Amino acid sequence: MNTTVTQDLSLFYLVSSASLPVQLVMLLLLIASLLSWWFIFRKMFAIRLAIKQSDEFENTFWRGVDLNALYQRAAGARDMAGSMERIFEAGFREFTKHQAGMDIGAMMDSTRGAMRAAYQREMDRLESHLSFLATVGSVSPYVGLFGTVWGIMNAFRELSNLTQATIAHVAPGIAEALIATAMGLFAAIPAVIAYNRYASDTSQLATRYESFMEELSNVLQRRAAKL
Amino acid sequence: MNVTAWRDVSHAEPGLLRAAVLALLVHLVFFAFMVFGLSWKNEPAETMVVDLWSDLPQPVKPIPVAKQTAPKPEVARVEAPPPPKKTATEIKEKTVKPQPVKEMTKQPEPVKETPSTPEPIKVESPPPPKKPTIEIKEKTIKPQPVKEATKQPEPVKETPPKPKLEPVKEKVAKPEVVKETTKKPDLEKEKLLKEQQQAEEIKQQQREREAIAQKAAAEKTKQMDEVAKYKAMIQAKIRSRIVMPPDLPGNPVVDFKVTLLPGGEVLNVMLRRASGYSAFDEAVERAIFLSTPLPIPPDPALFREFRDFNLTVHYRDSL
Repeated sequence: MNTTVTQDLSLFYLVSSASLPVQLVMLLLLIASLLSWWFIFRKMFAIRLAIKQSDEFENTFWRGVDLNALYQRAAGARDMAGSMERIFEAGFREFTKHQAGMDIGAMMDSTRGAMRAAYQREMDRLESHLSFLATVGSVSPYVGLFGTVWGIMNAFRELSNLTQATIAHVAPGIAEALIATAMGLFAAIPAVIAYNRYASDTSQLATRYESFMEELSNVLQRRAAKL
Repeated sequence: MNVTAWRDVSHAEPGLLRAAVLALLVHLVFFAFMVFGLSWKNEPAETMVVDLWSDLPQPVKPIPVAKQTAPKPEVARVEAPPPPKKTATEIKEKTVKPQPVKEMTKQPEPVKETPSTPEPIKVESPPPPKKPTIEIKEKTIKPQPVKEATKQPEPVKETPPKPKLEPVKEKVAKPEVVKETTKKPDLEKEKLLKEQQQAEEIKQQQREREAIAQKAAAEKTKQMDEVAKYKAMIQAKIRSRIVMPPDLPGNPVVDFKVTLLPGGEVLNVMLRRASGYSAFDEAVERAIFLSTPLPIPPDPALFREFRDFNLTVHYRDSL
C-alpha cells in the first residue's frame, strides 16, 4: 500500500530485504492465509445457510404437510433446497418407485439406502475444505518457524564475519525472520478456531440429519404398511 | 439423469465472491494495522545530559557584559556594575570607566580556582607589570593604553574564552585615539591624574582579588591535606587489620572501591582490580569490613571525597 516508512525497520524493508527462502515462506504463508480466510467465510455462509434451511424444513415437515406436496416442492426447487430437503427427496423418490404389494422390508431398505447416500453427499459437501483449515492451522506455524529459523541462521552467519558483534547487528535479521513466524501464526490461529467451530457445527447438523432420517423412515414404513 | 442434475446443484455454493472479498478485507485490515499501528521506526530514547555544578557557572556571564548588550540582573556576586550601555558611552568620554569592564574580565578568576596549579601563578605574575605602568603613566598618556592592554592579557591566560576578551581590548584602545585627536595638552595633565587614580584603584582591586584567591587556595590545600590525612588514616587502620597470607611472591596490589555511609561505616566494597591471589584479596576485604567505622573527617563537605573512594593496598608495606 503506502510506502510510507523506509526508515529503519519498516515492514516493507524487512520483507524485501529478507533472503529468498524466507520470502518464499512468507509468500506461501500469505497464500495459505488468504485461502484459509476465504474458506472460513465460505464455510461460515454455507453452514449458517444449512442450519437455517434445516430449521425451516423441519418446521414445515412436522407441521403435518402432505408428503407428496412436500416432495413436489423439493423436487421443483432443487436450487433452493437445503440438505435435509434433499435427503427427504431422495428417500421419498425411492419410496414412491415401489409399488403396492412389494416386500415392505426390502422397500424400506432401499429407501434407507437412498437417504443414507444423500446424507453422505450432503455431509461431504458440508465438510469440504474443513480439512484444509485443519492443515493450515497445524502446519503454518511450523512453516513460519522454518522461515524464522532460516532467517536467524543467516543473521548469525553474517554475524560471524564481524569482530565485534552487538545486538544491533542481529536485530534486523531476527526481526525480519520473526515476521515469518508472525505470519504463520496469523494464518494458523483463525484457521484452528474456525476448524473447531465448523467441525462441531457440522457434527451437530449430522446428528440432526441422522435423526431426521430415522424419523422419516419410520413415517414411510407406517405409510407403506397402510397401503 | 436426475442424480447428475442433483450433483450439479449441490456444488452451487452461496457467497463465494463475498467470502473472497471478506478474506481480502481481513488481510488488508491486518496489514494496515501492522504498518500503521506499530511503530516500526526505532527512535533512540532521548538522552538527557545533566551537568552537576558545585558553584554557579559564572564565567559565562561576563561575556554578555563585555559585549555591552547583556541586561544587568545577571551579575550576582560582584559589586553591581553600572548598566552596560552607560559604560559604553562613558568610556568614550573619559577613560575612568574601563574599571567595570576589566572587573568583568577578571571575574572568572575566583570561579576557576578549582585546579590547584594556576593559583601560584596568579599570585606572582600580576604585580610586576602593574608597577611599571604607574611610572610610565606619569610621563605620557599614550603608553598607558598599551600597558593596559598588556595587563589584560594576563586574565586572558586564566580565562579560557579568549575571543571574547579581545573586543574589550579594542574598546579600551579606541577611546584613547579619540582623546588624542580631540583634547588639548592642558587637559592631558588632568587626565594623567585621573588615570593614575584609576590605575591605583584597579591595582587595589586586583590585590584584593588575589588575596581572596590566595585564601581560597590555602583553604583548598588545607582541605586536600585533610583529605590526604584521613586517607592515610583509613589506609593505616585497614592495614592494621589485614591478616596477611604468608609468602606471596612479589608485591601484589589489590584495588577496592569502598562506599561509605556518612558515619564512616562501610556500605559496600567492590573489587576493582584483583591482585591475582584470592587469599590476599579476601584478607583485604575482610579487613575493610573489620575496620568499620573508618575514620572520616568531621566536615560534611569533605565527606564527598569519601563517599566512594578507591583503596589500593600493597602486599608489602615498604614499597
